[in-house]
Amino acid sequence: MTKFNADEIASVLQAEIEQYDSNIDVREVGTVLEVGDGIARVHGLSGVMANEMVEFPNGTRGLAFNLEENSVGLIILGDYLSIKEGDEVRALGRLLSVPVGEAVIGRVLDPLGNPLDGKGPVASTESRPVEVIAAGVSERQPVSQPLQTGIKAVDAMTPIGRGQRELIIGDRKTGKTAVAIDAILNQRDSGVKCFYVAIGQKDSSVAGVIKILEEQGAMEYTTVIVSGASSPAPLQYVAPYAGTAMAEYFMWKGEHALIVYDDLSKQAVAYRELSLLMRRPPGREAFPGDVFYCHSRLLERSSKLSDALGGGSITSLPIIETLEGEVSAYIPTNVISITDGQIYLQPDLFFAGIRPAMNVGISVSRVGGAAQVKAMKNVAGGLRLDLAAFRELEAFAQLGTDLDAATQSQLDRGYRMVELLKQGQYKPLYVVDQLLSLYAGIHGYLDDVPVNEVSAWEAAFLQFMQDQKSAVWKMVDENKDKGDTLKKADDPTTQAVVAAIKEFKKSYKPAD
Amino acid sequence: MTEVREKAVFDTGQQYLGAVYAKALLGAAEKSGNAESVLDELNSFVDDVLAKAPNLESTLASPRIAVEAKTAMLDRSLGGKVSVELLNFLKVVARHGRFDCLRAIRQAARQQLNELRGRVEVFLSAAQSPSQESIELIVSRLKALLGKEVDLHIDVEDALIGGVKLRIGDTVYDASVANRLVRLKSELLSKTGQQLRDNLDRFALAD
Repeated sequence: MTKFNADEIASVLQAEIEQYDSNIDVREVGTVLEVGDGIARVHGLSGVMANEMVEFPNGTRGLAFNLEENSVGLIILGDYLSIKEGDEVRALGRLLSVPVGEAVIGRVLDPLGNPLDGKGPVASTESRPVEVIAAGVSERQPVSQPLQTGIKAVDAMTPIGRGQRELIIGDRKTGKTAVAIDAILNQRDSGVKCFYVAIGQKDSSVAGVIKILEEQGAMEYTTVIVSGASSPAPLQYVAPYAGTAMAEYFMWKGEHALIVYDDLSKQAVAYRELSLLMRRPPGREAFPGDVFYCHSRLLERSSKLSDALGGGSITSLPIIETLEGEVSAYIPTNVISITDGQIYLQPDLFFAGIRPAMNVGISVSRVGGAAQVKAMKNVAGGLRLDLAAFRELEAFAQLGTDLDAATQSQLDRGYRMVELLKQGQYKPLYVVDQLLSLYAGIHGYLDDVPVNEVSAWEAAFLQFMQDQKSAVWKMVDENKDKGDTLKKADDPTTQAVVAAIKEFKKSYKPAD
Repeated sequence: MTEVREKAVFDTGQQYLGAVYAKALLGAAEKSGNAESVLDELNSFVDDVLAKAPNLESTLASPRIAVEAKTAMLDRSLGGKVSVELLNFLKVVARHGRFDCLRAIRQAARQQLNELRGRVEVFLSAAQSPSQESIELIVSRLKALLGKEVDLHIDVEDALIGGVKLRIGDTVYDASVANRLVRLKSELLSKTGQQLRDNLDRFALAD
């Protein structure tokens, strides 16, 4: 244990006091009229601007939220219990900003950038305002680079590009967070910085997520921003903007970032609480009229910058929790219309053991196709439609009618594809592995494998490819971005893969 | 039965109403050219009469008393003693049942008159009550700086320890010792803390 030298500290203090230059402190002030539930109404502050930061006597910060004729409505970002009527509030003349930079990586922070992980202050010299206007049209370019989530079903059927906003939507306990966490885990070697913003979540679940990220080595490139269920509504409201500000630092540096908002329905609820307390008129489901703007201005900040600006990007995975599958509720429809596609998770699929429980029929990616790895497009281009057709056939087959051979074989293929698309949690797959197993499934090399052995077959096959056919594996890896890879039978890569699959099938013995 | 009313200092509704009534009062008084004296009368009515007879205030503010009775009461007690403008104004306030806003009206009227006359209200807080010379010095300096007449209100606050604090509108110019100490403390904490973090070895005792 280190002992401190009091004399040395005293000398530093003395030097500081000698240098202390006290100018007259000029401040714009107001007086608290009423305070409670995370908001305060203040008399005075006549020159304060919308969203300007203010400070209460106890050091708590606030934001000017409502500018009215005779008073100012503030939201209090922190402890509001020790603020009293009559307290002096001072305007700081600044916008709310958070520390950004490499120093935030690997940290667990609150929405104001204060550390929650006990690892000391954030050693950052830079900061960015929490609310900024998103990049304009001339500063952007279309999504062109893939962001691999490592989940077969997502990368094959709803590919995500860097700069895209892909919504993850579903009821509670359908694996929404798991999809997002897998996507973060898969960024280990991609250089993408990850931000996980937990809004209104149980602190126990957030602790669980942090533990997984640490165990899997993902905290080396991830920042967790926590505003748990016990945080006051103003902090829950600003959390996603704060996380985005931290991610934007990397985007403007020409790097790539992935941000997960878990979840935006709780943020909307926090915003509703603030708005109702501030007596803004309630609209549908008692949400204020600008709740759409609240989410659109947030998600608009996820973008792919033009090459002139460095080509950086923020990809966002907002999460929305639905009630009883009700996607036509207010917030889900809003966010569906803002985002560039959605991954829809269903409880019945989840409980049938299909995990990730993605409903491929209504899950889409509106822009990711342009960014998909070429080889994946060649292999899995028709997979979504095939699976949708299979679902229809499956319902028909349940009627017990005799089926012709062609229909039966289509059904058999479908059962195996569904089985093949199942994937364990925290086991993201590299794109080449995804390509190889999907190629085998789609081209019928699994048709003679019993359905319940598909996953064992896949595991053994991928092991075989890595151990014994690493040349073929490397060949696919090198050619995965070329237009014809795995498209036609006479392509050299295709021939090598087919030969390898055939060789494996000869040697494969199912374990009893 | 007496009605006890809380003094509503920060009622924004009352403030709004006060501003409207004050504008009307000043308009009427300016027409007859004696705005200052009407305002002085109003001040004295509030501070000397109502403050000493809270029952009178609650009676005038009570909706249970008929308007005629209130007007008659005002006539009897103030008739001939105050200017016609103020008496009429008080009757109007009573008729509209806004007697509870009288203090807000007074404050708004003072502000509006200051604005009208190009005067600025300045609140000075000091640890000890300043001498007459220093007050004159402060007023003349403020006049030169603001380019306006100054309406100075002085308040003694022990908590300031030393120095003065000026408040003009919503802006505070704080040169008090208390404030300097608070700022010194936060600056020392942050700077010394930073030095400690930057170079921990320097502060460690060699074993």
